[in-house]
Amino acid sequence: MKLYTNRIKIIPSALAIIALFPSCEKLVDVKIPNNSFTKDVLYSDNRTAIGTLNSIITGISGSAITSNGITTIPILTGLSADEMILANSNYNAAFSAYYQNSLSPTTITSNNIWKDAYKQLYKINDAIEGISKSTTLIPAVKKQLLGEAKFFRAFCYFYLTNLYGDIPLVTSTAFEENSLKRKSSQSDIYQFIISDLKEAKDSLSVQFLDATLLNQTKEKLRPTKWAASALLSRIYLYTKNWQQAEEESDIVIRNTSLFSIDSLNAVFLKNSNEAILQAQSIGGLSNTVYAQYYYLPNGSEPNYNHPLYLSKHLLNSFEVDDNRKIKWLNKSTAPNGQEYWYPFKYQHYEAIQSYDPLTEYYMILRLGELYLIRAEARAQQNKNALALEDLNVIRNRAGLKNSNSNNTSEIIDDIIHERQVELFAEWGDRWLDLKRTNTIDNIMPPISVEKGGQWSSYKKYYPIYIEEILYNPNLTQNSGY
Amino acid sequence: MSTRLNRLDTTLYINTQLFRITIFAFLYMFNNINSYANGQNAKVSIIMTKAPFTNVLREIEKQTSFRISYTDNVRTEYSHSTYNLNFKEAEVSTVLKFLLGSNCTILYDTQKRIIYLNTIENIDKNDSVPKLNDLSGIVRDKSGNAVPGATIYAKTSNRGTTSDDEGRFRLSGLNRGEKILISSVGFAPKEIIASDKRVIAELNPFINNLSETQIIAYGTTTRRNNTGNVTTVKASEIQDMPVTNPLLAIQGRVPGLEIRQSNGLPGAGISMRIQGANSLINGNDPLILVDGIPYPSQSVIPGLSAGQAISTILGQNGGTNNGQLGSPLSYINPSDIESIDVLKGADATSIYGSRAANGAILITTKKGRIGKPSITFNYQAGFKKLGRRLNLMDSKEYLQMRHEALRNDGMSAPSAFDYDLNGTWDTTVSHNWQQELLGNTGSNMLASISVQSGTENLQTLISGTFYNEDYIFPKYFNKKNDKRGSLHFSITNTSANKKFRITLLGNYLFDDNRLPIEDFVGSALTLPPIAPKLLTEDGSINWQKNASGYETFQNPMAIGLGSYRLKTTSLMSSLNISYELIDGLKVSTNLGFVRLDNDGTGTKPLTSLPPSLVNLGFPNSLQLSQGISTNWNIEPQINYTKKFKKSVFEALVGTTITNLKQFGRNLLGTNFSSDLVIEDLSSASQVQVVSSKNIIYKYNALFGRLTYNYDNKYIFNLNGRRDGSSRFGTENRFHSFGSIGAAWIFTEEKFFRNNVPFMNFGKLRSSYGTSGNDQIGDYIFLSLYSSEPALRPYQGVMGIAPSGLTNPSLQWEEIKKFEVGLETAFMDSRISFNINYALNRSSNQLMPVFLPYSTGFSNIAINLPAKVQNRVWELSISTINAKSPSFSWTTNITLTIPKSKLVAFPNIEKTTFSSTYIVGKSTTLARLFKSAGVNDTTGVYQFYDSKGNITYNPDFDNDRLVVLDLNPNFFGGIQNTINYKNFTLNFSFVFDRRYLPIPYTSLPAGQFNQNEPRFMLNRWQKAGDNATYQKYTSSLQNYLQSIYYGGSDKSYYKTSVLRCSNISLNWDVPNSWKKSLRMDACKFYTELLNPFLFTNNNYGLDPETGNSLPLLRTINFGVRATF
Repeated sequence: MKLYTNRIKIIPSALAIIALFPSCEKLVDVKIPNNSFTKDVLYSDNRTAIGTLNSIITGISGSAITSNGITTIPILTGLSADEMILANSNYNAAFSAYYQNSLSPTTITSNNIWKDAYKQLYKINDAIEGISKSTTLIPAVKKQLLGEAKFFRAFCYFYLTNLYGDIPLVTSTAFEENSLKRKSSQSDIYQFIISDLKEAKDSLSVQFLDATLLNQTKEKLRPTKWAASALLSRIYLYTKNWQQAEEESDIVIRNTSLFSIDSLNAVFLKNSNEAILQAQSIGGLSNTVYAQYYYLPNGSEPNYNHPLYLSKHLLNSFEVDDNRKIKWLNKSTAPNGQEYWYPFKYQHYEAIQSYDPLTEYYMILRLGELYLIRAEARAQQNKNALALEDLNVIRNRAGLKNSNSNNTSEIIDDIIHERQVELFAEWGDRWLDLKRTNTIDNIMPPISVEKGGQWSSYKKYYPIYIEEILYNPNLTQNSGY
Repeated sequence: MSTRLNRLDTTLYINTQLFRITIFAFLYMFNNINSYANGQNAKVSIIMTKAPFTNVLREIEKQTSFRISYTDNVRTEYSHSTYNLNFKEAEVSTVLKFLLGSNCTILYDTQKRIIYLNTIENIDKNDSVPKLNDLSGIVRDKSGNAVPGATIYAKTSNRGTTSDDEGRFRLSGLNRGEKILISSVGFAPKEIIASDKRVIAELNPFINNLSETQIIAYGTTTRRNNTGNVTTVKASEIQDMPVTNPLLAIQGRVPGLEIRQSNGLPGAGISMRIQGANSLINGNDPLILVDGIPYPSQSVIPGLSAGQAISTILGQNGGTNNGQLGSPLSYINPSDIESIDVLKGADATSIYGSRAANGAILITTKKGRIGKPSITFNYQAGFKKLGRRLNLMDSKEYLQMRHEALRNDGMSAPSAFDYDLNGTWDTTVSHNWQQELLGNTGSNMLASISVQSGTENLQTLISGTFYNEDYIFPKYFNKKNDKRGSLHFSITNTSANKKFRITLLGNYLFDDNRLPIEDFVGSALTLPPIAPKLLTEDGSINWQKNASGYETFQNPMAIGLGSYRLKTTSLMSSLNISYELIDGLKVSTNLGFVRLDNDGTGTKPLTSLPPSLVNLGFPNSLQLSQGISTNWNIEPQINYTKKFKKSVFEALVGTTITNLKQFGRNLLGTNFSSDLVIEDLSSASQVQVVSSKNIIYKYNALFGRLTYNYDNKYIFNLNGRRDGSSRFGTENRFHSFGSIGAAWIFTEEKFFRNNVPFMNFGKLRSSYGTSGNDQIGDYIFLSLYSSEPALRPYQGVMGIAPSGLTNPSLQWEEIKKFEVGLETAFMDSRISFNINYALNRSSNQLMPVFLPYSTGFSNIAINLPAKVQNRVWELSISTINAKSPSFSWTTNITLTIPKSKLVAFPNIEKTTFSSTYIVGKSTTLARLFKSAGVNDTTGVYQFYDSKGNITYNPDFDNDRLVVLDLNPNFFGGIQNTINYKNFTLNFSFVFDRRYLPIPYTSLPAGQFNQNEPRFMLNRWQKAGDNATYQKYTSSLQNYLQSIYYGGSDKSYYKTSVLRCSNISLNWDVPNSWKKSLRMDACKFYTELLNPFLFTNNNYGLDPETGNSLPLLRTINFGVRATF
């Protein structure tokens, strides 16, 4: 027994002595949970770095309509302009303020696009910081990812400045600094966008890439050099650099091996010839949120779930034999005989299962718009014949005859009109065109009254939400609000 | 006095083995036999001639209340003598001295009223201590029942034994005059003097005993010497109560501890708050230690509220997220618990550092004792019923309400959807849905067996328990119930010289709880009495389809077809090794492991869905959620005790290494080809990972304690701890905490003892110190990115996104605690009164601060200098109202008066909390609209705005004018124990007074398929009516006003509740029966839970649980027998 106790007393003593060392860093150091990444790890691996860009792409396209984020831009701007009707303001209070042009700094939903865009910008800036520093990514992947990030940064800033005017230009993830950022002027924002897109154009692949960013694919799901040019041509158009707008759109249009004008039926199908950039839905149960959202079964009236239909201003803009009215619109005739027309560009509204193949992708950029950009840029440079050539490509595809306008100003009016009926319900082009062409103050007053609101010129920019100004003392409200 | 001091060293010898502590504690408490002199002052008058010695003694016994006990030697020497006596009003001592001469000692024990007589030579011979070769005796309780398994221990000669099944024992080789300690669980220890060869030791039940052992951080002490604020609840007080969560048994017994149960189901969530909530938004759970090992206070099942098939039926558990449902503490078997100690102030908790800002609950499980092998069976079974019912409208009133609602809405005829009025439903029926859905009688049964045996070197205990509970819900398709089985064992091995000790403890529990997805209470309270019957004749779901084939209501029975089955396994094991290196220096290590597995299966079969939805393609679904929490803990310690004259020093140093892993995942399978295979995930046509969780928490600390005790009068205690936790960034990972505490036992002062003789114990204690809160969540200081699960990842590669802005310099929430307490006992401890005042201030609150969205996110967590103050008065009074061998009655009352206040919150307007909190007000508050009643013309609710104008649409930011403190004004409990011969009656109450919300339904009254309580009859009907409730409506008009009203001052009610929580009656089988049945102990008992409650709030089913399943009225009958 003596031997027994002598031996065993060593155990607790030894344990006590070993463990009584002062608190040790090592004992409280934890590994990262295996469902998370740190920044270093994330941007050092090709696949996870690609994952961050995928999160940005899917953040921009295809989020739920109810989140009122970037995905909702076509709806909110369509309501603000003369494209869409909100059947009953009770159906959606958030929409109602946009619809009646009655947004105020205290309307919390005025913040939604802002909030969503800056969240994506944080992710983008973070990705640019992380990817630039990374030394382990395959160079080709790194180059493509940086190009994609800059492409989407330009994309977000384009909508932010067009919807809100002067805005804080956030280029890093440093929240202390960013929370005190002053506004930059719209022209500075455009300069920044242009430099991002030029860099993107240099970095991005000339071919569509698959998920590894190393192999070519037919899937038009990642930005290419062509997408950068397409967006750049739009920027030049907005900033009235007609010649450069023509050049950049020309680059894309001439790449006929990748892009060509499709039939009306095929434009919005996945990987259509017309698509320059598309995004795939990650939700398992639908092709696009838009098709499901707009769809009104014949015989039903707008309701809580489908509160929108198209305004007569848009409907009346279609020429009589415009095939787009048949192919890209649909209607429900209510029991009382009233017709409710709704956008039908995305047609596959049926619920699907996650194992069903997708048939439609979200359209981000397409060739049709580029023809209209080139047409307008050419017309502005008085290249009327060439401008008409481009315009008629779009008109003919819709089953319409060539335009018979022959002076520059008429041609430009035709092009703006063509944009209204070609690009409706896609990315808010109508609202942006009204502002860009300085016609908004002529067109909106009666329309706003019609919608139960009141138009003032300052309303062309949405207000900055009051709390945004409260928490950033250097931020000023848009004038008028 | 000197004998007392000699033993102090052993008193402070920290030891986890219960029986020894009891002995040591006893040693220095109960050695006052010599010091009492009152006995000899008693007066007797004796006139006798030729009286034998024994007759004289008997006469003295008759005239005084003393019993006289004498040794064999005295008997031999005097029994043949006869005496002639003539004493008038003489002192007993005079008479006895006359009888015995000078070679005898006379000892008076006034407490036990015994006079011991002994011959001097037997007590003390100068050179050699004679041996009293054999001591034999019987240990029994007051009613004369044998106490088997009692420990009999002679300190000086280091000999011990245990009583046999008839209470008999025999010790040999003792010194004469040596003190013998007799102790047994549930009884106050007793000391006798080894003078007789034969003794009968009568043990008193353990009441009001200051030497009661208290488990404190890393050790034990006694109530007498504790400098901290600790309340102990012993197993004997809560034993046999048919609850699955041990904390429910101590509700109302611990001042300062508030326990609220979210509903009456086994496993339901409970919220525990010790001295209020210190953190505004982070965790406020106390630290829970089972045998020294941290036990999770929240379960880890992820995404329980993800909304698919998983149910929220188990209710909130007082955690910070909504996902934390059900109480993990319900997986500790209450019958394996020896004691629960609740540690409150700085002195008691500082040594736990960053984890004990919210106090600590120490659960100690049962261990084997020295004694002969014994086996105990316990069986109880009984029934459960819903206690209270809500007074709802009957068929006539419901129909009247509906017709009136339609009239108010200007509808001349019911619409196609008003199935109750348009002839689709039979309006002549009258259902009592509370009876049909909640009226079943549930049952429960508990059976346990426990085997224990112990020699001086080896003590073991093995026990097993099986528990089964059936619910009061309709037992239609599934028999839902809860089954649990548990195993507990303890092995203690001590070396022959008692220097080395090893204790292994294990607890294993398995619980299989089959619950419905919803608790039916909602349906029972809202289904109209004229709703169609729930089942058709053939037993299938009745959807009462309309002419076009659509269901006309949501049938609750269908919901009941879905089920939520939660299987839980809990394993706790600890190993304690200790060795006494030299006298007073002990090293020990506590190793522990806890694993808690939750496995939830939620099913939503097609049969539970309305057929029209099934036709639309709504799928059946299965949700599997799994949560595993494993925790290991190593705590080596060195303990040194040194006595020096009247001083005793005790020092403790130790370290803690803890590693907690939490793993969870939540899978959703949909679209099974058939309900038959719904529990098989591989039969799902689509499987989605809803969420997953994987957390490691590491914790390391160095701690120390220094205690100085001078003459048992002045006690000082110093605690310190240096903590490191993985929940903080590197720069703030370590932090120090400390406390200082002092106690003054003023009744030990001579002047006090002489002047206030009726007060036998008085202690003033105070402490000040810091502790911290690291319940802020894991990894939140790290910038982490996680995958965005998608059914169809982008190009097959899942998106990865940052979780938010992070602040690497997060710090502890720190709390400073001050307390002062007075503990007193009067009249031989027949009355004891304790009062404690605690002032706790927590600062450095970790809270989200708003950022402009241009930073990418809306907020970032920052330590803010917000200060939360909790001021708590704790009172407890224990009285022995009656005490005689055949009848005793004790009462224990606790009362807590809490008050919380947000002392400071700089820049509150820049945080998300500006609409929630107000500086200077309670931290648990409701900000409400001020109701202006019902407009007597329009019949619509109206409110006051901030300018005093009346409006229908008050503004959320400016017009919430009424601020109510939702903290209770007070809460507490009353426990009574009455013993009469073989009967023991216990009855306990809990009470509180606070504002409670009235559970209105958010829809205005008058909706289709929505019955209302009868108090809603007091509604506006016509112009000029002065009504409480607005007019009925069948549409959503005035819906907002109805919502505002629910957020107005009229939606809260000051509620007083007195709940009888438990009544139990025990009957101890008489000795003669036990003898013939060869039993050591046997009792029959009945336990009644929640038999009744008094309240002025009749707005809901139960004031505590609102309108979720109330605490059920339970009656159980049982028998407990030991062989």
